[in-house]
Amino acid sequence: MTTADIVRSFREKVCREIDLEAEGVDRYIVYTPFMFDDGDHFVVVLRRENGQWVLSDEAHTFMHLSYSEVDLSQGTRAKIIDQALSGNRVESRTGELKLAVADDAFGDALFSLVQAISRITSTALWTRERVKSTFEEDFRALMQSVVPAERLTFDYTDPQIDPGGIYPVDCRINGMPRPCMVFAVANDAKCREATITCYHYERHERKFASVAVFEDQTEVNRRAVAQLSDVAGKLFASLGVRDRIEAYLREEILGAGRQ
Amino acid sequence: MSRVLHEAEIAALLTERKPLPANWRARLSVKAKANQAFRLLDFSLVLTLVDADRADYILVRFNGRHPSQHTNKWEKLKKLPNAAFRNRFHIHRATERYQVDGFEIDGYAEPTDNYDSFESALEEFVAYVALVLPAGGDSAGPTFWESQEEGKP
Repeated sequence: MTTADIVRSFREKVCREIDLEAEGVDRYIVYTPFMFDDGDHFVVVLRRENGQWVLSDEAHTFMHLSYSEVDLSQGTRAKIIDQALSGNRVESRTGELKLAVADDAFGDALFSLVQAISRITSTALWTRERVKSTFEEDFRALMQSVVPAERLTFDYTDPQIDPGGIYPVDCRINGMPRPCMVFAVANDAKCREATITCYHYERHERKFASVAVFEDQTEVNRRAVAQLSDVAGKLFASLGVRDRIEAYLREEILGAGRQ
Repeated sequence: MSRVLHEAEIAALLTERKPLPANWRARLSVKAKANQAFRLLDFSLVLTLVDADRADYILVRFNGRHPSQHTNKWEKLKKLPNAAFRNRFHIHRATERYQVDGFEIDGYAEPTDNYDSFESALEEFVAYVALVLPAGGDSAGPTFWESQEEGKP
């Protein structure tokens, strides 16, 4: 087979995988080879709206991803989805992914929509560990953006009451009469660890303020949350309330040092 | 940790009688997630096994007719006929062969003519997965879409 044959074969195969089927007036199903892991292909429909051709997934992508029971509306996943949409000029209205075909560039529009769907789909497949790691990164970035570096210690352990380092604090803010311990809580185990650490510091009569920031409080065992709420001064349900967390740290924690 | 469900276990799980509570129809509701747009023919009815270790396995999924293709990857890999179909109501079913060969447990699907709407799919689904209707049936209750229109839960 010559190089020219390979190129011809390649092009024929790729072209053959894209197909259109008329379905009603000014409406076509666009068949592509791109599919979800379960073998269902992405939904792409070409239709005419207000005199302009648009490509749409007809809200199928988000419905399909709902099988995986992951929350796509907040946190790192939401951020990646927003980037996937804006980067490909795809708009999402009430869950429908839609892209206007500009300058009759149907092929470009198709690739953009498929790329956005593909990227959105991949976020649903992230393991919990992957999400956890980005949560911890996001948590640290938030703390660094609010608290001056000289007042911040990550993974703090107290050499006097915890020489073995078995009661770590995710983030300690100093420079006030009472230091503040901030915990990043991604799961049940981390919730219980934070509770135990607070009890340990209390038992040794340490004076401290405490804050817990959950990755998603609704996914943590209710009893564990209740136990932590008994000892922690303030809980935030997720990083989604970033503005509130920042305001609380500035006014109630960092501001306390000026009183 | 996931395990492989064998064909006999899948069949036993599907045929095991599963009694429905008296108010089961009232408990059907549209999931208000990111997806707020509703398309009457693009729906899913799913039966999932939640194992003792909380791993979940989709046993069967009744899909509406979404305007796209489905490819049975295992059959395509084996170059078997009819590995794909387009724009049809279809039923995904857990298979041992897909799990063993590293595909999604519910990656196999067959087109069906046994239903052509959400309501008829629900009726078929109830029978297919051996759901047992409460005594007295549910004929007095509103349909799923009627309950949504009336703003009921």
